[in-house]
Amino acid sequence: MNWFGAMLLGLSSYWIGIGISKGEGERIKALESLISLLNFMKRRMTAEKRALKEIFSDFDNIYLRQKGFLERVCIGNKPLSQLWDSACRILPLSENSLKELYYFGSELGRLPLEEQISRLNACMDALGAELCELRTSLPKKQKSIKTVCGLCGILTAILLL
Amino acid sequence: MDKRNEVIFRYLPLRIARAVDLLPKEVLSGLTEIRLRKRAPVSATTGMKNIFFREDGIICRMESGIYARDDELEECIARLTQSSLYTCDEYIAQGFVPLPEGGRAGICGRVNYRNGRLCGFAEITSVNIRLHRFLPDVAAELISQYRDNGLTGTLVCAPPALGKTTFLRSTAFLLANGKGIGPKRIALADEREEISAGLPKSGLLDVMSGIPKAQAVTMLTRTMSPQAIICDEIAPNETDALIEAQNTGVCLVASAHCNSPKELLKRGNMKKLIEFGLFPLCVVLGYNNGYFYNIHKTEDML
Repeated sequence: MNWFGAMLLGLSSYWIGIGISKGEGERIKALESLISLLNFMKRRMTAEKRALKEIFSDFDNIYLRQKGFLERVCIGNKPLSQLWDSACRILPLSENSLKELYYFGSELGRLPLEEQISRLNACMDALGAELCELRTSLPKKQKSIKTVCGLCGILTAILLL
Repeated sequence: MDKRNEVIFRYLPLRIARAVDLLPKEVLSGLTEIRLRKRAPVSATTGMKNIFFREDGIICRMESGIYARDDELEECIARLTQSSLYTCDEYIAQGFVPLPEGGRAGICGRVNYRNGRLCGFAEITSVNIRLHRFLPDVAAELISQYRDNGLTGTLVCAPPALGKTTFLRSTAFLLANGKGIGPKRIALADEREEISAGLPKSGLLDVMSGIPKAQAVTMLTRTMSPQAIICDEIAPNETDALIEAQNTGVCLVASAHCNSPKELLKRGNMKKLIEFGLFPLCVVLGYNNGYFYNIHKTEDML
């Protein structure tokens, strides 16, 4: 292996690291989008008392649309809680966030307004707390992922040389 | 499929809807209610009979009838509320869910009762989907009485589920459209949108819905100057407001639950309304292998 190959190996490892750290960043996007959906739901539920399916079809968010979340939650004859669960499952979220979302979804559309809103608030609080934590820890995490990947590449190249 | 029965199939879980669809035609056409109870046989009301049926639509004894599973009852409620129970909070607190096409589904179960009022249901265990019927000519005899003697206040009496609302719907239609009599300005004080359900929007008909009947009667009297106001099921607490509103001379056609005119007069509020002259006529509905009604003068009853 020549020097050019070694450099290439180091760079591609670093590039892989960038990819992985971007994936981690997607969690922030997912959480932000879900919180904005929950906020939208809360407004429409309290102000207009619109039905959930109408609320979902009115809401637009590029990330959730691209991921197919909105399509999954809107279409189908299954109970809404099942549609909600299957839609949440496709998002890159932590176990904790998913647990909160499943709990919220389990009674979605089956409660009077007051209880429905208090559950929605609890879910929003939990997702918001995780989002805050991610926002502070993610840059460090991303940096270390990139560094570790880059170093791995360099180490492998040195060994091969 | 009968358009009226489409309503049932829209709200029933598939397995039960299929069974209802397989019922004999004469039963299906006479259906007035379908009742689902948690882990209990599904029943249908036709005429004065409660019937039970199997999955293949065969009428049977209660024990062998089709049962509603827990998930099916939940599905039915989800369909009735468009999977958004909170949209019907204020109606659920009164024990029913309004249907978008008019009419209602009664609900029953374990109630959340706080600060002296019903805040919702912790668990819904029974659903009663009521079917509205539109029989335009059923009140024709009353209309001919109006034609001969003039429009006058009328009380329609019958036990529950014997067609009081159907009778009022027909009266509203015939009067507003001038069938058998010159067209009259008719106002419906239709709190739960039951009388107007399935009623063609034609003729001189104004509908006030969503507010308590007594309040609606007052508003209609002041604002719409109707020749007659039609409303359903007068409650005791509405008596005084109705008397107040009716001092204007507008005819009131209303209904009340009771088995006979005698029983009617035992109820203080009804007696008061009759004594105040709000209802010179009383129509008593009955069922004997078919629906019938008799028209009485209330002065003869007192």
